[in-house]
Amino acid sequence: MKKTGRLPNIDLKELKRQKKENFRERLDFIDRYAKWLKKTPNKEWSSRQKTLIG
Amino acid sequence: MPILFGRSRNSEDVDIIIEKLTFKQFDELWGELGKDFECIITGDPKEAYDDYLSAKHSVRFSIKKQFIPNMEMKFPKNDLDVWTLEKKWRVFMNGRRLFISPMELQIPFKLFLGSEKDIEDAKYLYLLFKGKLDKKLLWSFITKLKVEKSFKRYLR
Repeated sequence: MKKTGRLPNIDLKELKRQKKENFRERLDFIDRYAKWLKKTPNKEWSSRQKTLIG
Repeated sequence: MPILFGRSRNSEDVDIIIEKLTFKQFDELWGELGKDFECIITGDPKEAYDDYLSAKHSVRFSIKKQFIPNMEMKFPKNDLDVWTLEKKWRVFMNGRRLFISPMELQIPFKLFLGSEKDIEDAKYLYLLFKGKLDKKLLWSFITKLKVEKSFKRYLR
């Protein structure tokens, strides 16, 4: 069996806090994205959307 | 990561952990990235470095004038991120080398995140890699992240 070596310290409480913070950052991103979409011509964003979703 | 290994779903972003850089190093990276990408959080590299990366937040870069897809870049936020950089797996794709998080951590971490999408990803990765995993290491993370119940319920 492979040697596992050093294992990281895991602070579950801190990890849960970071998980919440990541969620907040994602919500912030969605806010920015919605604003960008509204000011970008439909033809422009929809053509990129077509490429993205195939 | 599951998409890299063939899972058929879409994604808006790729998470990237980079080693902590000095501002000078980051500014050089910013200049290189700026040839093809733009930061969609701020246009100022000093602000990206001071207010985001150094404050344990992430910044996002996309191809110019596109919001999606984007890469979410961050410095290590905790010892788990530092360990991930130390123990990264190498993947070769189209003649290029990529680094990814070790699967023994990635699978339990997906269970820790716990959304339906994350559990599906964990199951998919486990089914693909279970013959190649360091089981002792996998179980260390399952225990440390307290996801034993999810593992037994969904992955076994």
